[in-house]
Amino acid sequence: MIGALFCNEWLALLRDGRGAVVLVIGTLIAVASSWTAASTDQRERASQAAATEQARQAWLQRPADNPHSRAHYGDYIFRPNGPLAQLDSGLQAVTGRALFTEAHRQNDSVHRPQNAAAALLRFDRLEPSTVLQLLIPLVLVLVGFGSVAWERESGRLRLLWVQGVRPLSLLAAKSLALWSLGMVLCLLVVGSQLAFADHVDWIRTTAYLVLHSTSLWVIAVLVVCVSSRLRGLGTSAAVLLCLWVCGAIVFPRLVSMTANAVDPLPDRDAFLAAMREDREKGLDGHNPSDTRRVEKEEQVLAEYGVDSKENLPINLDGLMMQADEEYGNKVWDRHFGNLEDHYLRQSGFVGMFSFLNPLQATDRLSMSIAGTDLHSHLGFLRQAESYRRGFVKTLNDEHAHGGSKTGDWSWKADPEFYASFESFDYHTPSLKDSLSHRGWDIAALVTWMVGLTALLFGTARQLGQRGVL
Amino acid sequence: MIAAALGLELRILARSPWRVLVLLLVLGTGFFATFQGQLDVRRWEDSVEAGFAAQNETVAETRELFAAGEKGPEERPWVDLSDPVWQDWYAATRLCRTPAPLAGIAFAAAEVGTVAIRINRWTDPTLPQGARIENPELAAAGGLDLVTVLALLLPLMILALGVELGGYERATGILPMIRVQSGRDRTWLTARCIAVGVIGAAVGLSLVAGACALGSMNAGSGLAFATLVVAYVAVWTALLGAVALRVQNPSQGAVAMGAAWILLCVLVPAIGVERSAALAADDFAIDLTVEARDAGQAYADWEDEAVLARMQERFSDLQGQVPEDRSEAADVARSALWIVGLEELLANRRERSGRQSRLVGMMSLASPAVAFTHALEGLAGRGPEAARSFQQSVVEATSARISRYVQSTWSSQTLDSQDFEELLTITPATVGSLVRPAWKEGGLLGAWALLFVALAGILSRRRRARNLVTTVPRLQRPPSTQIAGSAR
Repeated sequence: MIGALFCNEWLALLRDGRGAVVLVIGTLIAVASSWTAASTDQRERASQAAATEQARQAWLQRPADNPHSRAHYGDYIFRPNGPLAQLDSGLQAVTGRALFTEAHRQNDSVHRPQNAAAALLRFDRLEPSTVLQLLIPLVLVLVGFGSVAWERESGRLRLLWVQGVRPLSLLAAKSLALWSLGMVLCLLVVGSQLAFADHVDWIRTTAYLVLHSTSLWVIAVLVVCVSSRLRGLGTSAAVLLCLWVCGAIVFPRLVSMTANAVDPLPDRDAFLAAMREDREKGLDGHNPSDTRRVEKEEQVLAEYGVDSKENLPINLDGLMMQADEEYGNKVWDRHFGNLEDHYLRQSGFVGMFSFLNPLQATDRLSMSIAGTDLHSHLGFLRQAESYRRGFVKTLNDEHAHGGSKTGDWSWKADPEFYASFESFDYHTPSLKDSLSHRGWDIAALVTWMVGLTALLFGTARQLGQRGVL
Repeated sequence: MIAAALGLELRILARSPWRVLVLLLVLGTGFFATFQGQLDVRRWEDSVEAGFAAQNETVAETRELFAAGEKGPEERPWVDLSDPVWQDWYAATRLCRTPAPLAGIAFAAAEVGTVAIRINRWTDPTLPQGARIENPELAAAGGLDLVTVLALLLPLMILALGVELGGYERATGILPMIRVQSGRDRTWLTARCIAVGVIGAAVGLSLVAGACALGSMNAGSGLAFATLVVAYVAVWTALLGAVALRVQNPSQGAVAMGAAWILLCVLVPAIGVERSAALAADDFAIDLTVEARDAGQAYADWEDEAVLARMQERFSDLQGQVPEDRSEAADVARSALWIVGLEELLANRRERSGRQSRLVGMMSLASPAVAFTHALEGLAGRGPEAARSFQQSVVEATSARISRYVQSTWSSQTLDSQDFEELLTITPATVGSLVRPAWKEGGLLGAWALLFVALAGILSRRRRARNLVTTVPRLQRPPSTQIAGSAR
């Protein structure tokens, strides 16, 4: 019975032109989004590699100089794309691409790709995730809002009961037909993406497909249930469009604004001032009046058994600067650590709303699968900071133990020493790691799936009891 | 007939709480966005005030030091206020951008940089110096400003209110009945579409009125805002009319209007976004990072005379002022020449931004949603063009400080409080937001509305021709058969 009804739904869809419009638009969007996303991803990966190489060449071609001059010259890190960024670029558009690593300070990443879109920023980029999470649900709403309501208004529902169709079979067939329409479009999007991609991460792609098939089932069942429960075609359309507008446009923005209002981040000036104040309390490699510096000097002199800096076999400046770095690292850890905690707290707050909005749960899980979510970004920043610390320590150690004497700022290290530095290498978190932070979102989506499937059964029972009316 | 159709639409609305919910959703979201916009403007004004407060505090402290004959603060013995370096540092002037009257309606516009910036000879307007730290996860959701609500939700509201127009009447056989009774089914459908448009315009104008009441806009900008909203509603109403005259059932109508919304509000703008991003294809900001750093370092290797010549070429007021110790003068110039590189970089970026602006202009031709949002951002004085204009002001103010610093250093004069006061007057306090008139986009919206009206006219004629072929023979049958036949 379900099979016949399912085929009938598809026939009706194709017969009255809706199916043709949906499939033409769907194919157009799928191919366009996949093509643009794949070409953007390839272009960005090539640009990232070129930028990294240019920074590397600048480092290598610089004339031999003092290690501390080189620490101020610094190194640029250019963030690579996430493993499945061509399907969901996630937060990559709003996080900086370039990070300057240098002595004495931990910098934030700058130059967001979002700025490249300039005046069109308020419109979403046409990428597979936008199509799957926003447009296909809208298509399902527009195709399915009258799936039961129109049957009722046209009197066909009465005819179906007379012919012995069971309500559950009817609703299940209609839900499956809508879901399969969504899946056809989903497979078109992901399939054309695979056709354009150079390299495919099958595990992540499979997880991505499972996520979106679940999400589309939730949408399809919701559409059929609303269409069954509400009297009137217009009412059904109005309610479903309201739900889509809320889920896709209003709620995500409203929740993010609420999170900012409930738990606001510190003002940038206040954040920098607090960090500067903590920093100034400690060692300053360039400030001879600092009491901590005096203590450290005495400690080093005692360690080497000499009575003045001039008699030290090493360069005290290098040790002092490294000690200052280590103090600075504590300050950065505290302030940036607090900021990171704050980000995660806000993210957790937003995550609670996934129980209200399945599209939000899908979006967050999709970003995690693609390796482009907040945790991936914070992981990148942590790895970059770890690289900076190693980089500055190596330079300070060379300054201290490379052969120069205290106060000799004109001493230059060998070019081989600088050539021995390795470029930053980003390690992508595994899928398991990425999803381990998304427990609430997984629970929310499962709850939606189970809850709505139960609602489908309830609606069928109600429809059976109340008959056509 | 329009009055009768409007009455019918209002009765349908009054009978259906769910349809009222659609209206309330758009109105509620719009008023919320307006309120958030005002909060954003207040934060903006607070940032400006905080900037000026910090400036006044430092300046007052410095004036006290001059009055007491001190060289600098006691806890900073290395500071010497007679030295141009420290005068530049302690003349902590802020350059602030003031919000336009409609700034609150477009707070989600793309803007880079800050609204209040401290000016000295090291000020770099390309660095992220916004007052707020943003959580990327929340920033990615985008802001819900009034422009977004009007551009995206108003068309969907028209879709929701008019979803049954034409299709339902045709599928249930009501339309042939109207045709038989009055012979004016096309006029009836047009009147119903206009009635939906009137409701849409009323909602839009209510939001405009709310924004006017909360903001501090003048009559001119308020009128322009209202005209644009009415024109935008007219575009979607005309499209609804064209769809209503064509479709056979409500589902077809919904899919057609939904497809139009996806095409005009998502697909076409998204192509613009992609094209815009492609204009900055290799934008890992190499020019502002690796190349800028190396260009700054390169001046260290330049000959003294080359450095001095470059400095005087850029700052013509420094010509003839180079001191006898040309080597020392060149060292000073080396520390200042970074601004020349930055100006060249920004000129290149401005060129690219110009290309992007032209692209937005082209996309406005292809989508009324882009034309509408572009027009409103221009009226609100927000968006990349306004931010770029402020950035240019910052560069000019920084250049003036650099010129003054080099001049003072080269002359080796000991500076006093008079010089400090003069230094303060070099930087302008505020720069107004760049407000762009919206005539062009308004005209485009009008053209879009006319295009859809013409389309509706063509479709209507076609249908009338077909009706003459199909309906007249049906009229020869008994009326009951006729209606049942139509329903089938």
